[in-house]
Amino acid sequence: MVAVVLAASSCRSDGSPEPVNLPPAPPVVEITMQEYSFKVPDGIPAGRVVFRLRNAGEAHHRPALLPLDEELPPLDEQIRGTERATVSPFAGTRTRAPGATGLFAVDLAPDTRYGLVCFVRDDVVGSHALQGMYHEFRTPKG
Amino acid sequence: MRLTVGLGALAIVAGALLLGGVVPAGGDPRPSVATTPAVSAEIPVTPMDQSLGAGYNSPAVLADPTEPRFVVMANRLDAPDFSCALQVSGNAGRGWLPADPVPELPRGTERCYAPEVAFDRDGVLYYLFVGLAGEGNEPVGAFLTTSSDRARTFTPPRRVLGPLKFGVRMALDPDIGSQGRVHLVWVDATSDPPTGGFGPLPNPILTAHSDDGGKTFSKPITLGGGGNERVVGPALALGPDHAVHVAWYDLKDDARDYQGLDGPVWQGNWAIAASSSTDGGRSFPRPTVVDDEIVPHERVMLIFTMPPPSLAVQGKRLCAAWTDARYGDADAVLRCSLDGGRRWGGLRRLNDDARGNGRWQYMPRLAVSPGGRIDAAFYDRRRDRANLMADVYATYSIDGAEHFAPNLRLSSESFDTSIGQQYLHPSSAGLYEFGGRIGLLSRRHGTVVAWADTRNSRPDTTSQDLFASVVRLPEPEGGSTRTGVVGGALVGLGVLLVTVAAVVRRRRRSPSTPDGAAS
Repeated sequence: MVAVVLAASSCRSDGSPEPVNLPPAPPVVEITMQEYSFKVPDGIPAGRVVFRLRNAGEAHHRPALLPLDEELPPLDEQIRGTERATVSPFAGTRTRAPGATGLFAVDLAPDTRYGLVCFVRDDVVGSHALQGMYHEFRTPKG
Repeated sequence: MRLTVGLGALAIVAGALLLGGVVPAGGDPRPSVATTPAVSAEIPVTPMDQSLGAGYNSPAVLADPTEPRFVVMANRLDAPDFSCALQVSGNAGRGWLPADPVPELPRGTERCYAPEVAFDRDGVLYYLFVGLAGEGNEPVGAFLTTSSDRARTFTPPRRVLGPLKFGVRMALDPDIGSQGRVHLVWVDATSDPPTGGFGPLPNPILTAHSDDGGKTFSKPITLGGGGNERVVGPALALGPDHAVHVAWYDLKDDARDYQGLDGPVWQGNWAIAASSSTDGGRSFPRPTVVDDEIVPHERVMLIFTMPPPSLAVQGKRLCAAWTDARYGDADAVLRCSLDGGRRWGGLRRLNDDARGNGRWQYMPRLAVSPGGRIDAAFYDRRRDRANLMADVYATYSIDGAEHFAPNLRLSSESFDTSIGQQYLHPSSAGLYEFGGRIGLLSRRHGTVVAWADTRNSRPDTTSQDLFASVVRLPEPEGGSTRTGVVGGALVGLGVLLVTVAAVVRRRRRSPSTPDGAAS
């Protein structure tokens, strides 16, 4: 019965059916940062995506999103190896204090590799990325 | 018995929904009866791409009158090149996707810039932009395109104004004719302006209207600047009874900013003039002076894109807001007229920080909700002693601009105002382009505010993103909001009574029916 009421309330005032071609909201990808990893959900889609990154750790973190060319070795090898390609981040937030949240929107290409890397280097552990604070994902085909 | 419970539940649920304001009253989506302001978390509207350094700014936010959940945001880009864009939301501004209003530029144009948006009463979206061409980004015309399918597709752009039109604004009166009346106002340069400033006077402000969806326009009327006035930055707002209000800056003796010349901040005063048509834009009276002691707070970075004053109409009450440094630093200030723009009342600050503290509030935007609440939003540097980092604040009045509520901080994070496009003109030295307006959509029980934001931008880039926030605000007592809530309560009560009557009738007709057997 509640469903009936809610359905009825979605009709327009003139009684005509509700148009269905409203644009959907972009998906929001919730990411948790901690020492020293990103907790990232599976299945990040292509297209407009909002990233919401929460620092649940006790250190400061600075997440950056990088596009990764197909010929680049896995991010793990890039970060830990001695030969590194220069990749410019195309999105990210400034340094996030513990408890803080960062937000940004991006247009992700389909079937493309992306890397999420913490760019903080501190006096305690040095590079957070070298401590394992990175994550690679691939968007699905279009 | 099940029937009774079911209908009773229906009545209670319907009554609760109506009393709680969940059923739209007046068309707004999911209004709630807010008594205290509540600021939602901001939403990033535009996509980051630091490799491009895209500078999104100057949003205009508008809702489809046939479907209030459909909200559009038009904006310009000042980097890496001049451009324009459109964002759309299907959930009343809580999430945004891109649209493509100009998939192909009109012949002879190289860039699209300074878009304006309007809806007609059938939900047709009008998107107006200025076409630019050449190294000097000369305006080659204003173009209009429309969409009848919620910004999925657009008609080929039609030229509605010729070259050398600056600061073009558009508004649509939906209640005239079959298609509504499209109003335009602009600065009409009578000679090709040199780079960085206007050329010889006159360069008047003109207006014209169209009753056929922009196919043809009336003969333009000169509103101001027909003589030797340095008029710039027109603003346009429509009121009840087909009133058309236009306001603009008169820079008076300030040839330095008008021509984009080198030099310090102008030490003289500017004025704001206004003229209001009461016959749908067919005629305009002589302009009135809104204020003629305006103190500039900085150089006009680029006179062609100078942020205009903001106008808001609430019945016969017409309010204008602008940036003014007469109290020692930039403040967001306001004057209102109670007689449709003939006489103007006293000046008041919209920002509630200490006077003359050296921290700027600027680029105020006004809007009026359907219930009569007057909303204002502005950039605000009060949290930064260095007067560099900005936030966005808002305030509102539920008594016709007599009093304004304590300022609300909307941005959760301050952002650097020294990130943005820079120009080589003498007037632009040391300044960063941050656009010409804040987006403000006032709705029953709340507002959608959008602004340019650099919180995620690298200092060495020109990147600016648009962020938006949905703010819940109270409505004026005795206004249509109260009517809506009381009406909802009455409807809910009516549903309850009908349900009770139906149950009683049902019981009388079938006294032997087992409980719930007919449900």
